[in-house]
Amino acid sequence: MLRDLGATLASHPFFEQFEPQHVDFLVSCSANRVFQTDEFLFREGATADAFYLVREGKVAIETVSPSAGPLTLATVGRGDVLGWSWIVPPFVHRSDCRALERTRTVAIDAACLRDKLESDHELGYRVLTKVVEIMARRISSARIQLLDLYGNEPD
Amino acid sequence: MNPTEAIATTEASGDTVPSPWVVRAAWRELSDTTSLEIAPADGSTPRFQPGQFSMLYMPGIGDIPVSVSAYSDDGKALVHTVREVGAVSAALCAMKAGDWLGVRGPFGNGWPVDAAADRDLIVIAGGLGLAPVRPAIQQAIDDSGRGGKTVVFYGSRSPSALLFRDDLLQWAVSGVAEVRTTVDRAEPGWRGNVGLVTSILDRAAFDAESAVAFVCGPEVMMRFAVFDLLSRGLSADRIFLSLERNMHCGIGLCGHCQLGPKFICTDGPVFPYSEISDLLTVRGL
Repeated sequence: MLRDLGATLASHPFFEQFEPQHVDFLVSCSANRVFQTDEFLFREGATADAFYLVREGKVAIETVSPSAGPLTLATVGRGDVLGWSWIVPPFVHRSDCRALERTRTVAIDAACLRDKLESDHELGYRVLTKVVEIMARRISSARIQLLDLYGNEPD
Repeated sequence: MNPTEAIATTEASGDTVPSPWVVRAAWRELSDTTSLEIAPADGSTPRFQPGQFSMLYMPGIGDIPVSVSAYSDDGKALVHTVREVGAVSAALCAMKAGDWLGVRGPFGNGWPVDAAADRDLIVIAGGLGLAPVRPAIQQAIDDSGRGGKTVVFYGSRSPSALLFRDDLLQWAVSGVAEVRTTVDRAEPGWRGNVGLVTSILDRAAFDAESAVAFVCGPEVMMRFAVFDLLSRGLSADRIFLSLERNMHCGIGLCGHCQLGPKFICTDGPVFPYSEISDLLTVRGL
């Protein structure tokens, strides 16, 4: 069972450049979790108790406006990861995450993961480098979305 | 049709003087976007290469460059898709069947669809940028002898601003192309992707070693798309961009659309990224 989970972790794009021993080291923190359509992976304000690797499905990252209701900020899917609040104090989610379709994930326990990264700084460096790479891409995308590039330009 | 034939046709139909064309049909694509099916008033059969543009002239108002977005079903008219953003485009969007307008062109080169004959064709389009590349997608799909697959990534401002929804749906459902859409801003009930068009490129499967990419949309979006395509392993000479500048004469004389040593109207509008990468980062060009 754990060997299967190790293979699943190793095959996820997040870990594709990682050494096998580093992936194996994280297996004991990990578990498969499946979310049904419209089920929340987590809610804004909740403790960030897991780092999710999306294996299949689609998840909406949302926030709620009193006047407009839920607003989708972005969606992620197969091969993506969800949440970095697990590594940023005070470890509280800043958005809702809701499955738009049946979604299979690997959930890595946040406290366990932080302990592992603290005990193996090389692994910690690799995980943080990868998380920062993803954060940079998402921030860059968000900036371009803010430009409203598809708006009108005069003749 | 080969390029020589296209040039001969356009010269005959008026490169400098607008020829009279008639609107056969006009329909709203979006709240601010209209497609015009127009045909030469003399009954001749228009020709164009996917990616070329025409100068559409409204007497007393002016002319603007508009890409050809399709052939009519009978092949005797060209469809141009116009977004209402100024005086000329507003007048064009108000046209109805039977109205007349002036047309010069078509001008410029086209998408090198043949370069993707036996390769995967990756199309990345944003907003109205789907219009100039739609005929190339259709040509690739219609080529039953093609070896590679066609993958279309399309981003728009919102779900209600997705252009050519029927085509996107038909391509996807019939399986002739993989179609992935995304929007910058979701609307209530939207269960599709939200994010920049490059965000849906990340996990797509295609043969990056040999694939050919056509990219069309706002230039900032295209630069980011190119960055991602290069990261995926596509070479710069297999990534083609359709550029837009202030086209006026359409025949390389006035210089309004000059980009360094290039004239967008005659050397382009479609360029391999390898030819223009240095120019795209020069401020003021």
